[in-house]
Amino acid sequence: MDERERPKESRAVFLVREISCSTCGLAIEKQVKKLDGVKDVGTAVMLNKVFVDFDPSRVSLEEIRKAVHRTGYGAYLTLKKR
Amino acid sequence: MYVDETTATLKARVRGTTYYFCSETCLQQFVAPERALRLLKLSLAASAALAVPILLITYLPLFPQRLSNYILLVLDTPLQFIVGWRFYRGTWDSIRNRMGNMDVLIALGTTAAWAYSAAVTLFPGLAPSSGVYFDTSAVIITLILAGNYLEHVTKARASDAVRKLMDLQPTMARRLKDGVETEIPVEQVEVGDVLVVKPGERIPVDGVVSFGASTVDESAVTGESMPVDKVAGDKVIGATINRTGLLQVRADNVGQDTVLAQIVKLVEEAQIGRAPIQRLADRIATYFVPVVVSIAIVASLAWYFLGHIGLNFAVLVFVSCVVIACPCALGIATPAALLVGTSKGAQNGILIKGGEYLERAGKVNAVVFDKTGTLTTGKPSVTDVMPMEGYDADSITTLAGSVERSSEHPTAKAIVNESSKRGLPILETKDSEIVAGSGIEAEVGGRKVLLGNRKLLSGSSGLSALEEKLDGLESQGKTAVILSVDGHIAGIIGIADTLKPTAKDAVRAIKDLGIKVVMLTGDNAKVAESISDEVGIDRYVADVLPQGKEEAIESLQKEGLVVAMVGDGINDAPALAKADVGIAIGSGTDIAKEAGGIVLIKDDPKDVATAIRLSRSTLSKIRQNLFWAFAYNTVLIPIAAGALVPFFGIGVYNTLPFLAAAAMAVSSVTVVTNSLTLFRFKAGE
Repeated sequence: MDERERPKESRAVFLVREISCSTCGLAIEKQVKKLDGVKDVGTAVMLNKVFVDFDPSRVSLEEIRKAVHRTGYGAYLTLKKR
Repeated sequence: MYVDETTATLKARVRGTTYYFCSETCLQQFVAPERALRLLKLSLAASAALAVPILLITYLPLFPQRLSNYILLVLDTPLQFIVGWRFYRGTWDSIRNRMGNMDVLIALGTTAAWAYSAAVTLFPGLAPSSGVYFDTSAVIITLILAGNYLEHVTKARASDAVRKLMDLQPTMARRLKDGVETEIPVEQVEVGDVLVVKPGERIPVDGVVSFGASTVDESAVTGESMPVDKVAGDKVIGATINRTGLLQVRADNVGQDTVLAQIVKLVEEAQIGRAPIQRLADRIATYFVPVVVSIAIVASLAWYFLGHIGLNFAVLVFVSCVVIACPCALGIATPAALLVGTSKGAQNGILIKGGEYLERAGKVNAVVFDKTGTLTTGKPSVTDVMPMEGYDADSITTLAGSVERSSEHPTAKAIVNESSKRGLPILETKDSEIVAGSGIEAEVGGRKVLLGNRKLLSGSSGLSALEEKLDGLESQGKTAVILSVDGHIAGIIGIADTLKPTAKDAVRAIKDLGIKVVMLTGDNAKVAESISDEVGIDRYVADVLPQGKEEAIESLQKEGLVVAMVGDGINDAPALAKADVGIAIGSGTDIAKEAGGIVLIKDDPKDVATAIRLSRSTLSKIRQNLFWAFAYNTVLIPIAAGALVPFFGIGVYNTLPFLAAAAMAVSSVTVVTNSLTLFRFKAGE
């Protein structure tokens, strides 16, 4: 989690449809991690949020959003930051 | 976000309030959860409305059997496929993601009951009995939807605390520019703007008071219950309440940089990491669905072929098995308690950055304080000036102040402050050199001046005669700084750092938890001992150089202790990282940059004990949740597979599917509700 270790990364936060169990979270993590350029995916089951750390030079926000969406849980981008 | 309602085209009405939006995405983001909830409520109502007549027709002899079966088929089919569509969609997602979920289990169970019943209705000769189980499918779907709704409500209550934090953020600010006050949306406030805050209002952003005096209630953000006096030059935190006077505040943190925004972000991000304790549950959850479906198939086939039960009962065995088991309670056991625990912490100014830190903090058995700035205020001042013969207080303070003029060390600052307080001049120095861990040497007006501890001054004459005086100072917990001029001792300056008012209570509170308290300090053993005695610490490590802190922690860890290190989150970062859990204290406004797994917003060491107690409570809540989730599945799956048949006969399967659905519906709700009790945690005990 050290900021210095990942200088060229962005984080996107998506709001998804109710993730009712952690296997749903695991499913999202598994699918989105397959994308090239995605470093890390975390889900907050209780908040229905998905956090994606990615390298913007290798993968676009829209590709990530689509990947989250494809898992069947919907995806609304709420925040993107460096 | 502020949007002018007269020009806004995007709007949504929720519970009688109209909300306006800046963009389609914002609108979607806002209405999506509301829409999902509305759909869920509607589905539940429709499901219940169909289930009631289905139950009446099934159990009351209202119609002849064959007619009755057809009516039930007509009533249950839309329930199964329209209301129950969400379970099929979930199953499809599950197949595509190759990850089992509870929708698969419900879809399988209810479809089996429906399909068997439909077949018997349409082709009556197929099974030995003409009994149908449309009611089973109807009741399961209704109970599961009710469970989902309850889960939604309890989850919303658990995440309420985070939302309430966000709601503290004022939406408008009053900017003062060229003598004119204008109301502007808080998003438009820029760094450097001067804002006017009237009594009773929330301060819009972080800033520095530029004019006025007041008391400010910071409890909502820092957890500090006593209002704090603010005058020009003092920092104020956005979202805190200005109580008594009019303030002008110059903005210095806006938007995502405010303390409040950082707190919300930390609490949210703390929910991401998987606490080690959850990993086993997650692994089980991954294999859960295929395993349960296999058990269900094996059990129903075994009963059918070996137990010689009818096809109808074999179907019910299958339905009971798939519906009773739920990986959800397992999956939510940790996240639910973690969210409530970390939110509760945030309400009290304690930010726990993730499940793994909380878990380790709950297991800590030694707390190490870096003395300066944690137990003491970190702002030492000169208490004694003892000139030797030939010097007076002012002359030695002048020399010492001149030598220390450009040093950043707290002790040096104390001496420089004393010198300027006495209105003394600053003399020209040459060849100034810092001797790490000992002091400083320099040339002042052609004389060689040394200022530092015994080690540095060991070559000076007259040192042995001073021992009594040095001991006297040190036994009072004061640091003695010795001044020598051209090799002769010229005087001693005593410096003391004041203990924080709550230091003693803080140490006692930690010891009461059965935890060892250790103090690290750069002072020598005598000073360290005197301070330790005063605050009630039984173990200290003295003469620690800044770079030696990590080593000190390592040696404690080698003794088998789980160590929490309490320190300043920026200067002590390596030591905080070395400890099993780093606790950064009294961080001020830059919370996000702080090292350490736990950040205490208030400058109060008592929060260390509170943080550990909260971690312990949350951890024990997680363990309870996991226990119930495991126990529930290990006890109920064998029951569903037929463990009760020897005692009650095969007839238990007439009611078992209903009980199974009820159990599945309440299992996650129980886990979340159990976690909600953590909100009762009291910080001040």
